[in-house]
Amino acid sequence: MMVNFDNAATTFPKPPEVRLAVEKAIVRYGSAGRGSHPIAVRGSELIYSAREEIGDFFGAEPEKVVFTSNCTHALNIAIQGIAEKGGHLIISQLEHNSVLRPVYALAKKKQISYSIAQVSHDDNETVENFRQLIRHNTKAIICTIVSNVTGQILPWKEIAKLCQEHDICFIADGAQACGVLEVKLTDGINILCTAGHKGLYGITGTGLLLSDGKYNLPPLMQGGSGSQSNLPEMPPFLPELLESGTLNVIGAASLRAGVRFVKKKGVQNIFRHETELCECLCKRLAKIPSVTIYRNPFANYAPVVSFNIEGMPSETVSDLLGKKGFCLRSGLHCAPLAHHLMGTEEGTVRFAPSVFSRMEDVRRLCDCVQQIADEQRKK
Amino acid sequence: MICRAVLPSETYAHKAQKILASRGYPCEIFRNISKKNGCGFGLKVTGDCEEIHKILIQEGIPVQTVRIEREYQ
Repeated sequence: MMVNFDNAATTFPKPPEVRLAVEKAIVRYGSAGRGSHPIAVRGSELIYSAREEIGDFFGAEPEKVVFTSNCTHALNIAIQGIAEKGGHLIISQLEHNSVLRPVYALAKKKQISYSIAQVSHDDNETVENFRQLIRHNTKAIICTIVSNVTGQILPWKEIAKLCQEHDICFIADGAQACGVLEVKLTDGINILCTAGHKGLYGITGTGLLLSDGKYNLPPLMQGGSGSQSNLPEMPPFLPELLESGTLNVIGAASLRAGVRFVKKKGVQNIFRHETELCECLCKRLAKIPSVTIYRNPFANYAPVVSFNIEGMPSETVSDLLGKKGFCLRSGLHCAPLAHHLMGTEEGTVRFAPSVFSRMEDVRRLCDCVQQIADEQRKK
Repeated sequence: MICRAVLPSETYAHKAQKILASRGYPCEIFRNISKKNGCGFGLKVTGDCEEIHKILIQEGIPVQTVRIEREYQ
């Protein structure tokens, strides 16, 4: 039996409720927001209900819940939109390529300039680092809430406050945070971008952009919206402004079921369970002299752990673990800045449990890492 | 009295429907196609049009028009 510890990429397996919602959606729903016949109406009702429930979960109005195809899509809408008229952006040094690349591309076109804030294990220092980089033309801080490499939690509420003080937009990447941490727009986030298929347990191909409505974003794509269709431009209101083309109704059904599942389990309970698994892993791996765990005792962490075995490339370790039935991701995890900071430019092995992960499997995994490390030492 | 409220999108039609239902105005969504705006959505509500208009404005719904059904189009 394969055990998945690569849930930071996408949660697997999905809850039975999500699988049922998908099965039901395939046979029940047509296109949404486009017609008045019964199949279209059912689809539209489902979409609105999903907006309401997801909006309630994150503290957003239903019409400010925008469905996207993934977190990268949402981040691109937010970043390219906020930088439409140029200016200066600040990102953290733990950003995923879904933030770094759109920002870099805009800078390469000379549309914007940007700065990278250093992240410390001390939250006050991190916030101060952001503060020092603010300029008169800074438009936004774009920052992950949780590093997808180390699991470090950034002080997002304090960064939000800093943005409010300087009247700049705060775009938060919640890909690794949503579903394990209580993240709300009321924390001071102006635009929250997240994946639907990770901690929210929806299917792949789902993402969200949630807005507090303070900053208007232009659409990244233009096309059909089902309303004001005689106009040559997109309707000027959310969510239709940012949702051109046929909506992923089946994905929205899965995401609604996923959010219901998370609500039922309780975000704090999920965090507690997964954190216990990470703590067990760290405790056991710390006893293996050739293993390095990339955690700082003074920082706060979400349930993601990166480690390496001395003298072994991360992909070799993950391949060997794969042969023993454990799925862990190796490499840079699309976050080169974080690896540069840690001095792990050749990557790490990442352990990322889900609500379905079991302690006995974590113990078996640790035994396998021990075995691999022992064999390496004999060479 | 039956009123027709024209709204800019289906999302707002659903939101308005929930708000009006919670205030004791059951209503149904209809597809509204006009020369001016192309495809859109509206609500068919039983109640006083002026009162319905007032509720929608108060709740921040960008309602385009609210008219008695017989006056519609």
